[in-house]
Amino acid sequence: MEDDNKGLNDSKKYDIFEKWYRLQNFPNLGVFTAFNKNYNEYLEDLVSLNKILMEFQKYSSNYWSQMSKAHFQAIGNLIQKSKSDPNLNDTNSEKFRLLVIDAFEEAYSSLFSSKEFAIAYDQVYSKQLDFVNYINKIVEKNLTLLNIPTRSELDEVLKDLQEMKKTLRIIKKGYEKVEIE
Amino acid sequence: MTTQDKNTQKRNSVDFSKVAKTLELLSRGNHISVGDTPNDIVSETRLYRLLHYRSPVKRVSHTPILVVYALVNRSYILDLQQNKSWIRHLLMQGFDIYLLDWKSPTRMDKYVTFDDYVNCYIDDCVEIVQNSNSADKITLHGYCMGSSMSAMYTTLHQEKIRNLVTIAPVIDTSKDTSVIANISRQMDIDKLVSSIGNLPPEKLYEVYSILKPFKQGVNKYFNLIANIDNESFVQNFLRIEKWLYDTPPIAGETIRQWINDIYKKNLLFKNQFQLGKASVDLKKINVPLLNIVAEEDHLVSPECSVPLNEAVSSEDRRLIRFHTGHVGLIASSYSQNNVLPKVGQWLKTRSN
Repeated sequence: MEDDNKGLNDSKKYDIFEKWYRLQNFPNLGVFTAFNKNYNEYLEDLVSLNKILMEFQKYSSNYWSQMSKAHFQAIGNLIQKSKSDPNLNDTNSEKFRLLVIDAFEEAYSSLFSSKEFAIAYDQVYSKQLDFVNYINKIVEKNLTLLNIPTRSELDEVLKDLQEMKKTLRIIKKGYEKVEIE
Repeated sequence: MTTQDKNTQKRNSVDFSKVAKTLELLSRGNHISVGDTPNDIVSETRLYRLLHYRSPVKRVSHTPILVVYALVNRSYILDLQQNKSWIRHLLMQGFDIYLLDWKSPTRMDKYVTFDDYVNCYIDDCVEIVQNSNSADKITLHGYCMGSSMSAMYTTLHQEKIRNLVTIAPVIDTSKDTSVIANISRQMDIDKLVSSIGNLPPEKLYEVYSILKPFKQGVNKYFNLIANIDNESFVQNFLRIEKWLYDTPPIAGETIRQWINDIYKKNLLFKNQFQLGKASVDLKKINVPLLNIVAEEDHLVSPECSVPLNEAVSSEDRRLIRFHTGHVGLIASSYSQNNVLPKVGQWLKTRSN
């Protein structure tokens, strides 16, 4: 999928990020470790976030381009239909309103039922999630530094709790059965 | 000013007053009451409430009915208003009705699965209903996703079930032509669950808004403006509107199974769906089955629901199709006059 901005294609944009990262990336070996380790990690995160935003913009363009095509399709349908019926000249009429609704419904329903739209919709949402994931990752890193439980650690606890609840229910049921017998 | 100009001015002024009235109504309409049929809470946990409805007439059926609602939106659609209440109609026919009303999962419930919903929560409620009525078997009655869960339950606990009644069940998703199925097939649900946890209601609103974007999404407001002085129309509009935008989140692991195993891999229809360690085999169902589908259902295609009748082994199985939509099937005058009498008739001959 090509971006609308022809002057700067995807690989060139990635290249800029890579160069920026390399330029800012300080040595982290030996005595430099303590000074630069965290800085380099945050820098990497920042570059990754920008890459995600760039991809989001690309997928978002595709999504809106499909929506625009459906819009023009709907207007085209409307013009065709209103030409065929001279009574529809009065734009305040109820009949005209229903015609507009029908024309737009037809065009957009056809778009929303298509596989291309479902893919584009998922791509946009997926990139939003990637962004959220990166933010989470940065937050987790900070929480580790502050010695506070992270989300993934709490998730482990929740998973164990759910398993324990299930096991407890089985034990309780078994106990009740024995008690009845 | 010409007569035509005067007429136009008059028409516009009337329209604007209706628009103003509509806007005022929409800003205060959320307080409308729903789910008014008297009931008692028999059991309540973090994730469900089991309601028992008080019967206004003498009971004629010895088999209690447990209604299993879906995990999307709220169960009061089955008791929306007195003259359009699915629950009330069944009560008036002399049935003993219980409703499994799901509560909102919190972030703590991210790891709740279909195994928990079916083998723990539904099973607990079935046992409560059995014990309260000294009944060895009950009628399990599901709606939409609740129908699919009822079918899953029946395959594994058939000894507790006398009849299975399903409304618009999600079964063979390979035949589902709805927008929901189209979006679900491409959705990266693994990423969503690992990033956010539970499926947020906003995601569901997004999908609802593209189902019938103009015929329902836009046109309904024009209809409201036109009928703003019709009290009955307005009350009905407000109740449906409240229900449409009242949906809980769905537990992460549950929605992961729903999308991956049911919509993408069609495992329920292939008899390969896993509930914990058990496999759900629809062929094992041999209790009487009544499957109700809506011909104009745009949420679950009728083609997706109908195959349940072929998938089960029940000798006594019936499929009834109605010319209405997903919600019209349970909460409309059409449903009161056409659907419920047939459901009641079918149940009466199998509930004693």
